[in-house]
Amino acid sequence: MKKRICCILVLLSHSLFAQQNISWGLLPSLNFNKKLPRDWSVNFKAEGRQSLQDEKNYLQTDLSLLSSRKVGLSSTIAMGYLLRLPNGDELRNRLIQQFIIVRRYSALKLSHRFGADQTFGGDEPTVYRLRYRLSSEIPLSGQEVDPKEFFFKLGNEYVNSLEESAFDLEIRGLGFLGYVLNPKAKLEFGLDYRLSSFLKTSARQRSWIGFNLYQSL
Amino acid sequence: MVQEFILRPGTEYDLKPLYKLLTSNFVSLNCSNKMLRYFVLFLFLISYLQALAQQKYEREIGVLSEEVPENAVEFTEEFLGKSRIKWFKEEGLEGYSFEAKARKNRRKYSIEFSADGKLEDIEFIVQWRNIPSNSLKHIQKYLERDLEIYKIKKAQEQWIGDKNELLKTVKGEINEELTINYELEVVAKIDGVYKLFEYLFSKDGTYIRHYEVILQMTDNLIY
Repeated sequence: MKKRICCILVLLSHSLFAQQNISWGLLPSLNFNKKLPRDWSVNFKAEGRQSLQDEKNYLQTDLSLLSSRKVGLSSTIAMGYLLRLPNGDELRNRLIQQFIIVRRYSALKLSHRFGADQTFGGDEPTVYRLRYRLSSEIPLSGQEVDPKEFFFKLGNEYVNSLEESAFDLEIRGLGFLGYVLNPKAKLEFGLDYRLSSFLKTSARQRSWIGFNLYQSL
Repeated sequence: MVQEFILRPGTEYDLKPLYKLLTSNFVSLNCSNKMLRYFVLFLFLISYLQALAQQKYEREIGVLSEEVPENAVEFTEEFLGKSRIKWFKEEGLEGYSFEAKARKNRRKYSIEFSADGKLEDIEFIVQWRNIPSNSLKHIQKYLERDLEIYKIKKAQEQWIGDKNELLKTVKGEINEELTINYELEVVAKIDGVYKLFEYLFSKDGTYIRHYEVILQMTDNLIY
């Protein structure tokens, strides 16, 4: 199983590197989560984007604050706000609504995330998006991801967007190698590949090298 | 020029010269403020990771059968026959134990052994609705009293007994000498918070013990 996943990741990254017209960048993020009474929690995320193309410009910073509540042992509803600070451009605002189910199986965890968001502000028209993400966490030793152990995180997301009357579909695929620092902290490093505008004439391909820290407070 | 600082207990010191010495060295190395900030952040990260490295946790790791005591492997192979057996070592704060997991005749078995290979129990997953009705009535009555609103997520039948007596069950012999318990995973909402518990009941549905299962962090799958 582990060998198979390794092979898939190697083949995927090889085929991605072999492709032309892919823009590359860095996508580091810090994620802090604070549990509150009665299954409420707040989540703060700071994410930066740095281009690795030509002039290697710093692109933007996203700051988001989500409030969530468990509506079952495995299901959560989250709502919040994201502030986008583009480098040299006008601010954008985003309202976020999500419903997440995390299923625990004997040797993996599977998460379904259904989401909607509305991005507005600046001179750009409002963008409405509907999205679904399937992601899994697979332990690399034992049947559970315990502290001081590595894991794989694989994900696939479909993002439907509507801007004025133009519809677009973005497909995302991600493969991360993670490490559990302690029961309240996880580190991840990997690739986030995004394919969009393929419904029109020329597809847009972006690959982000991600580095995420999740810290529960 | 080398400057020497000797600290004597009970004496107040003016640390300005030391600060000046340190900052002047950074300036002489052409370190910008940005680099200094990265350096401080790097030091913080290193000390954070070092602090984490000193902590100990319970964990389960996959092991080869060669790493498991011989008596445990022998019993498991005899009990499960030609099934594909996966071995795990469970490391706790006070020691370790071994666990074999395999499927046989559509049953998912889990066999636990102590560190020296002594058999502790055999468990296999059952449908909770298939627990004998009299026992189930007792169990449900207890859970209703203890938790009010609950849902049984998973049930396991647990066999405890002598190795030879347990091996007789492989041949289909019903063995009255065995201790049979039911281990249930139960979800309940307590004071507005969803919690997962593991309950142990005897064969006739008498409560033995329970504890809360601490769920692992899933923030990276949610956000």
